[in-house]
Amino acid sequence: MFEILSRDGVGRTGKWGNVNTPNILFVTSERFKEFEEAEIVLSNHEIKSEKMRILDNGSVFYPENLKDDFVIPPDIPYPLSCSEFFENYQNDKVVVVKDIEKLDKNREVYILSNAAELVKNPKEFVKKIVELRKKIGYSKIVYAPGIGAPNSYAILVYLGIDLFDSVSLIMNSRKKYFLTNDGKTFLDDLKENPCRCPACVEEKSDFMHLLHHNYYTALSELKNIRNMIRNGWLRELVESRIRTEPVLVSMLRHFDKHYDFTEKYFPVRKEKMIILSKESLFRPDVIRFQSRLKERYKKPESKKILLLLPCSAKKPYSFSKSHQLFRKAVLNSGNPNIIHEVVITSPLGIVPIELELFYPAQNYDISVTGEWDEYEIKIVSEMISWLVKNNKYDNIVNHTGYDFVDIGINTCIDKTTSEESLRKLEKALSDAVKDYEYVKRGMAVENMMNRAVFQFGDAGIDLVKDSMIKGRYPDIRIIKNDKQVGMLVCDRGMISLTLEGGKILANKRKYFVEIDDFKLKGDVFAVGVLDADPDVRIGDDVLILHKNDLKGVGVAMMNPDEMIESKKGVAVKVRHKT
Amino acid sequence: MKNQSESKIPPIFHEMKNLSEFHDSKINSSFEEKIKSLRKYPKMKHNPKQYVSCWSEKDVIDNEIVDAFVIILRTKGCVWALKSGCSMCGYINDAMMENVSDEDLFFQFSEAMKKFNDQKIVKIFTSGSFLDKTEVSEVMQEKICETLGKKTRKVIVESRPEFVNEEKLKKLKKLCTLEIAVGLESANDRVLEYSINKGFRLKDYMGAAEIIKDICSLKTYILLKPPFLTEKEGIKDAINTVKIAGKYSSTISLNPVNIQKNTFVEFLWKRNEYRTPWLWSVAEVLKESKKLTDAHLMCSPTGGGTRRGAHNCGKCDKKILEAINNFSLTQNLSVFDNLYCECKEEWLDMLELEGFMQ
Repeated sequence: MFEILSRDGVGRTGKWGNVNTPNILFVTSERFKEFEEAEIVLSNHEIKSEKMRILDNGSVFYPENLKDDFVIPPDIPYPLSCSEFFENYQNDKVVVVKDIEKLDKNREVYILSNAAELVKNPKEFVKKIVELRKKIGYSKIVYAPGIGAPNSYAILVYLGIDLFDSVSLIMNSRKKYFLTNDGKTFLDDLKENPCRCPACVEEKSDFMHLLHHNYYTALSELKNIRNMIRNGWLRELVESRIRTEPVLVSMLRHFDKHYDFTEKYFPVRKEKMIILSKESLFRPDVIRFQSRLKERYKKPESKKILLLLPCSAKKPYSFSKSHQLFRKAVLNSGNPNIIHEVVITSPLGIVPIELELFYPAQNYDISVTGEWDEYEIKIVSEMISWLVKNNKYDNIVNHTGYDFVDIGINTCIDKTTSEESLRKLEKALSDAVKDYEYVKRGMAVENMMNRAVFQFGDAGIDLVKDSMIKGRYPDIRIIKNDKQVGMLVCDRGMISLTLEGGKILANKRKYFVEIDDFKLKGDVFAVGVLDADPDVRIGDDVLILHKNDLKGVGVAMMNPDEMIESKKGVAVKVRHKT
Repeated sequence: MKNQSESKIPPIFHEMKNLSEFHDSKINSSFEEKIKSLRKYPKMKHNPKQYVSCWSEKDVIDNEIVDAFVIILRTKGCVWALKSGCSMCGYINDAMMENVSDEDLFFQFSEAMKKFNDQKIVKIFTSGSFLDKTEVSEVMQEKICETLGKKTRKVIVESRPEFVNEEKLKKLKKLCTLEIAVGLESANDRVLEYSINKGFRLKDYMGAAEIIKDICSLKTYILLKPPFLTEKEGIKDAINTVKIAGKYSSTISLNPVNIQKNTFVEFLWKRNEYRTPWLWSVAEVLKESKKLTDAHLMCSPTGGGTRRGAHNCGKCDKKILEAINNFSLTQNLSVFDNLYCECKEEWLDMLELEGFMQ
C-alpha cells in the first residue's frame, strides 16, 4: 500500500512497498537489461526480478495475459484527437485513464494516458492533471508514461506525478542526448564530460554508456527531488529547474492559475520561502497571504494614521535596525498607539505590523535592489488601495520612498533611515496625531485579535475577546479567566492553542478534525479521522473532536481530504489531550 | 432490433446482408461517423469517360517474371466507402460517386486498352469491387473478361467478399483465366472493427475465399500497421494474417499503410498521431511470412521511402525498397541479408518501447 511520508504542495514523497516515490519504472526487456539501481521495473513479458514489477498486458488487439500484483490492463491507445472513443481500461488495482469523468475512485494506480502527447500543450496537460487529482484524491498514485527528463522531473512531481518510466530516457539516449538537470546536450558537442557517475567514469561514448549516464542522472534527480520535498524546498527547486525550457515555465504558470486547487495543499507555515523569479510572486502561499488579508483582515480600531514603511532584510521587521528607528519616530510622535505601521513589500504587497510573524512575512527572502518592477508596484498599490478603501484612516504617512498611491505625505528623502528622513517622519507623525486624544496602552488585545482572526477566521474572535495579554512580545500569552487559552509562538508565527482555547473554538466547529469514538493516546492517525474542516491546512492548529466533545488540540499534518481518504500516516500531531 | 437495422440498410446493401452481424457498439458507429466526416468530395466532377489511370508493371506467373498491365476504371465507387469506408482508404477520391453507364465504362476500358502492349497479365481495378454489379454491370463484367480472355494469360480483378458467388465466378472463369483479389487486411476481428472499419469479419473473408480458391485463384491483400496498433503489433498482425490467408491464397500482397487523402489515417498523421510503418517492418513481415506459406508473397509499398509511405531514416530507404522489390519477384529471402543502417536500432527500440506509451 502507498503511504505518503512528506508533502510539499501537491507534490509528495512516500513509500509504495519498498519503492520510494516519486520514482522511475525502468523498462526491462530483451534490449534493455534491468538497471541495477532501479527500485521498480516495467516489462511486457514475464521477467525474473527481485524488484517490484509492473507488467503491461499490451493492447486490446493483441492482449497478453500476464499476472502479477500490478498489471496494466489491455487498452486501445486512442490518441487525443479520438477522444470520442475514450473509455477507461481497468483491473482491480490499475486504471489506464482516458475519461476522467467516468473514473472509479477505489483503485491504487492511475495511468495518465496520452501523457506524451498532452505534455506538448502545457495548459491542457496541467488541466488534465488537476482534473485527475481532483477526481481520484490525494492518496492515489499517478503514473505518467513516456515523459520526463532530469530537468523536467521537478515540475512534473510538483504537479503531483508519482511515477515515470525510462522510455523517454532511452529515446533521448538513442538521439545521442546527454541529459543533465539543466537540459540536454548533443553528445558530440560535449567537449568535456562534467559527470562522474559510474557510467561516465569509464570514459566511453557508446549508446549503453550514454544510456546509463542518463539513467543515473535521472535517478539522482529523483532522489534530489525527494529530499527537497522532505525539507519543503520543492517549489524553489521547480522554479530553478524550469528555467531550462520555456514549456516547463508555462506548466508552472498554468498550474499557479489553478490556485483554488493548489492552495489547499500548501502548508500554512514553512521554514523559509525564497523568491527567485517572477513565478515566485504567484506562489499559492503568497497569494493566500493576500487573499486572507482581503477575507479576514480589519485594522485595529484605535489606529487612525496609516504609516507605510519599507520592508527590511531582517525579519521579523520590527526586530530590524531600520524598523527600530521608525519605531522611535512613532514613539516620539506623542500618540504612538493611533499610528498603524504597515510594511510594504514584494511579493506580499502589504504586511500590517501585528501580522509580521505569520508565514511567509517573517520567512521570505527576496533580492532587493531598491528598484521595483512593474508587477511588484501593481500588487503593492492594489493592496494599499484595498486597505485604505476598506479601513478608515484619517491620514496617511508614506515613508517608503516610493509613491505607490498618490495620497499621503511622503516623508522620505533619499534614504529611509537618513537623519533627515527620520526627522521629517517624526514631524509628519507629530502633526498627524496632535488633534487626537491620547490613547493609552492596550493595543495588545487589538493586535492579538487580528492575529486570531487572521489564523482562525471569525471563530478566532471569541478566543481573544475579554482576554488579557501577558508576556513580552513576541512571546505573549492569551489569558482568559486566569487560564491560558493560547500563545503566540514566534517561530511558528501563529497562535498555539491550549485545551482551554480549544474549548472556546469547539463551539464554532471550525478548524476541527472529527475522529471516531476512542481515547487519544498519541497522535491522531488518518485511519481514525471521520471528517475535517475543509479550511484546515497542513501546519494549522486544529481541534480534535468527537461529536462536539473536545478530545485534544494539535497541528494538522495532512490536508483535510487526505486525512479523510487515507488509511496511513499521522493526520494530527497532538499537543494536548483531554 | 435486427429487423429495424435491416430496414435502414439502403437497397445497395442488400448483398451485404450475408455478412456476419456487425457489432453495433457505440465506438464503432462513432468511428464510422468520424471516417465519413473526413471524406471530402471533389469540387470538380470527374469525367465518366475518363479512366483513372493505367500503367505497366512487373509481376510473376508460374515463377516467371512478366509484364502486367494495370487499368483503373472510374466507377460509382466502393459500396462500403460510400457508406463510411476503411480508415486508410482514399480510393473513393477517384470515384464518380454516381452510376457510370455501360457505354461510358466500356469507353474507358477501350481507351486504356489502346496502351495495351501484350502484357501477360491484365489487372482491372475499380477502386471498389469489380464483382459488384452496381459498380460494373454483369454485362460489362462479362464483356471485359471476354475481351481480355482473348488477349492475355491472366486477368486479375478485385472484390469485397460479399460480392463473391459461385455462379458468377464460374461464368466469368469460362471467359478468361481469372484471379480474384480480396482485401482481408487483418485476420483479427478487433483490428477489422476498431482499427480499419472494414465492414466485414474474418469468417466473411473465409467464406468467399473457399469459393474463389475452388473455382479460380485468390490473391489476398494484407495491411501492415493499421491505426492504433504499435509497430510491433502491426508486424504481428500482418504475420498472423499471412498464416490464415496463406491457406486460401495463391498470392499474398502486403500493403504497408500509406497516407491517402481525406482518410482517417491522414487525419491522425497530420496530428503526428500516426507514423507509417518502417521499411524494416516490411522486411521483417516478408521474412517471417515466407516461412509460413507457399503463396507467392509480394509487396510494392505505395509511396515507399516518402513521409506518406512506409519509410526509414531517409538514408537507407532506397536500399531496402530494392530488396523488397527483388524479393517480390524472386521470393529469395537472401536479399534481406546484410541490410543494416543506424536507424535499425531506433526501430528495434521502438518495437520494445512503443507499447508502454499507453
